[in-house]
Amino acid sequence: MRFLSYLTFVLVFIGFPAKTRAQASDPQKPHPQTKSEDPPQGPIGQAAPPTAAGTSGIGKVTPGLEVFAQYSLRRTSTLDGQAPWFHIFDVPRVHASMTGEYGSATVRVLLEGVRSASEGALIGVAGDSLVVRLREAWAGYRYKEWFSVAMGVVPTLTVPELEGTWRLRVVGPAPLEQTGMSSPADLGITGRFNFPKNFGYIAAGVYNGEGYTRRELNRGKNVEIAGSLHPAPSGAARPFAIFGSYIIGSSGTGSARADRLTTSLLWQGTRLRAGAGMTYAWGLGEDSARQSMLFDAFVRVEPVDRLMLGLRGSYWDRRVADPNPDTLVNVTGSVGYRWARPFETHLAITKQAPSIVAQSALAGSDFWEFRLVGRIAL
Amino acid sequence: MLRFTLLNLVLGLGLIGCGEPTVDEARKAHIANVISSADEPFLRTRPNLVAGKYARMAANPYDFFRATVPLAWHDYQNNYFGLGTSSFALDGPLAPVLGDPHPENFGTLLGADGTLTLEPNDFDSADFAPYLWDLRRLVSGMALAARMTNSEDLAAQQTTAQASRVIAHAAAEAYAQAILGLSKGGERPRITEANGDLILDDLFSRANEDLAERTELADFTSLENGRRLLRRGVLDPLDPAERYLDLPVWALATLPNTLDHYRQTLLNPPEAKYFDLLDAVRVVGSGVASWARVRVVLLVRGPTDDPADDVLLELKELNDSGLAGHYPPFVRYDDVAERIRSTSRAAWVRPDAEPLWGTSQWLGFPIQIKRESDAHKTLRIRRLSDELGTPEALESLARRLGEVVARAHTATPKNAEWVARDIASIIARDPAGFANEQADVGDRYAQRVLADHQLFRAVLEERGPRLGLPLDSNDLVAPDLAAIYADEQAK
Repeated sequence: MRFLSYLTFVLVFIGFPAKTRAQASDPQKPHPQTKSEDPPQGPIGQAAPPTAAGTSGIGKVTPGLEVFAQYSLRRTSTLDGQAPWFHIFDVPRVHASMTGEYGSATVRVLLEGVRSASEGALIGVAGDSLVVRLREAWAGYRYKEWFSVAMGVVPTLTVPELEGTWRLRVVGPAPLEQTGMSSPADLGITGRFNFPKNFGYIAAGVYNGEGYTRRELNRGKNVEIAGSLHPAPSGAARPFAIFGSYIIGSSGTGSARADRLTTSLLWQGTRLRAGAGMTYAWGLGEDSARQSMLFDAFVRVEPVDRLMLGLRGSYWDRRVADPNPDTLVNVTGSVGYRWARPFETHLAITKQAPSIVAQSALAGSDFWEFRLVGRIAL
Repeated sequence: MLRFTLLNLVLGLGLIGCGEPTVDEARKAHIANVISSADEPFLRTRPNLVAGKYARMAANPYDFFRATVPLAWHDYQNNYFGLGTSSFALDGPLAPVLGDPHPENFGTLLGADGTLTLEPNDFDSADFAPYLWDLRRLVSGMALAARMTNSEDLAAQQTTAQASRVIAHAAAEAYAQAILGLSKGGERPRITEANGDLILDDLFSRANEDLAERTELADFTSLENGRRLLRRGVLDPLDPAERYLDLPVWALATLPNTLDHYRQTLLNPPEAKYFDLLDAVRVVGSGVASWARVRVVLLVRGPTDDPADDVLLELKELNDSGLAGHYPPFVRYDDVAERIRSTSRAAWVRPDAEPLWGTSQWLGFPIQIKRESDAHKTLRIRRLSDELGTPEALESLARRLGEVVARAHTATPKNAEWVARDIASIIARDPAGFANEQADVGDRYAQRVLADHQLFRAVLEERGPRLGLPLDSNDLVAPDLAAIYADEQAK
């Protein structure tokens, strides 16, 4: 039955391409033509270059950078009167991208820097060095304004939509990603169909399902269907959107169920951006039978030019079947200032409060965290 | 009410997914996922060794329990079967835990003063973590042991199994009493004799006997032309999976450097000549949880050139504990080797309880080296039969082990001396309630282990020895590394 569901979704939506960077390109615009080191018929009397990257002499290639640099101080509440603290400099995000465009075709590679060992591990690469990995690597094609498709290591549909509405990733990731419910990128294919007159879009993706940080572990492929509807695409209510997505997924070698239903009301304005929604998970953390629920609400305001205020709160019921609440509440508030277009700084305060059950099982889950973060994006 | 309404709403929508798995099917997938995820690097690079490990786990529920720390830890953190819930939990501070203090991780060690003591003898998972994790691992291990005794006398087995909660309770109660005493400055007791405990009496008797006779030299080596060498092949016909294999010459040549570095990590190192390497063999098919890890037995010169005082050492590959990462700084040790040295020497009453237990690196692997001696006897559940398998015998053992774990929690690696006081203060609110809660949780989880063992056997049958992990030719390791893993020979 589930296989039939997969098949249906794949057949129906595979042709609906994803929003790609190709939307930013203008196929009418002439592209500069330079001399090719590797013409289509091959170089005469010599071997072709070992890779064709950068040899065609056609298209437009745009580099990009985004870096978050952070100082954080965390006080973890333990026994009454005890609060061990720790402070650290870190780079929570280091992204370097290269986007190539030629007509309706787009190719994009996004590298990110991460610690080689997960938290708690002592064995990493060359100690525990910061290493580089692929976050995105896809080729896409756009047909007019209606369709786009991308394949490779692609952004998924739900997390990027919520984070793109929040636009304060520098202050913190979407709870959906933070709780491990969903990944922002995966290996697969996405397609997107834009409604006319800016009424929104509907999109679908098929992925390996383990996220971009792991290899595929089972034959099941995740299918994600997402749509955003702007009921009043012109006028004052243009920023208002109703977003929904459903993921039919599996994870691990045991092919444990990993389905997600997400619904959100979003406001995607310029000075005001906000959202409120929930995600329900069938199957989480390697367990098919576990059901979990996440509520998330956020607002980002820019009341005057350059001043940014953010507030985000989430309520995560880790196991809804548990008669004793096993929950985590997380609230983050932030104040930021954009010194110049590429550079901004934020002061953020986070409080996480577990229920008694969650605190018992997750040592260190009750904490205050103060962060000073700088962001530069080019 | 709101929670209930929302729950019903989304449950209705969830029917889109259809095909709800049964509880057992879901747990089977859960077990396969957690175990394969924990073993993934090994499954990819040494699949035959992992297959051997899984075969051993499938054969015996206790071996399954021994090798499933990742599953139990997952259950603890996600509060399955109530394993992570307690009225006596401390969000912190984290305690210096042994990590996996089930009964078969205790045994005799030969100290620097020549005395045999009962000590924890496995620190693969030792780290800073919640104290309740350790205690519940012990309590559930004792409750499981109670169900596994007297394998050839079902009536006796049933009698002891019926006392499983009492035995589990004894471990928890002894832990509570010991930690309350130790937190007030009580002396950390050194257990050098049985003191009426039948199981420990058997353990110490056998250890002392083999200590005097140095039976390991006869068991593992042969004397040829006045020179002692390690034997090869299957040395114990009752355990044909355990085999001693030749090491590649190039790997053998790197061992003196490893031994030299190891010697520097010992508290009172013997002179360098003590560790002159005479021979070394790769061992496959040993242990349970660490079955797939690189293990080498070394024969070194010892105090003199006389072959009669040659010394055997065991080299074993180390890994992360898997239990760390709670709150910043998330790790408490500089590296894995320091974790092993610090946790072991702090947990023992005397840091030189095993003076040859040190660490080093070999071929890029972090490793530990310790004495391989027949005087080092480990508690074995399979030996608990007849008078050693009665409820009273197990209850007595549970008390002793509860005391040893409490003692370990009062250890002070990284100057964590306040930990014991904090644990004691929360137990002191209701010591009887504390023991009852741990006994209930531990006994229930032991029952769960038996059920999970059956599910694991089914998973293994359905998915094969890779637990469904797809084959990938990119996982093939270089020939030199393959020779060290000895994965092919493990078939």
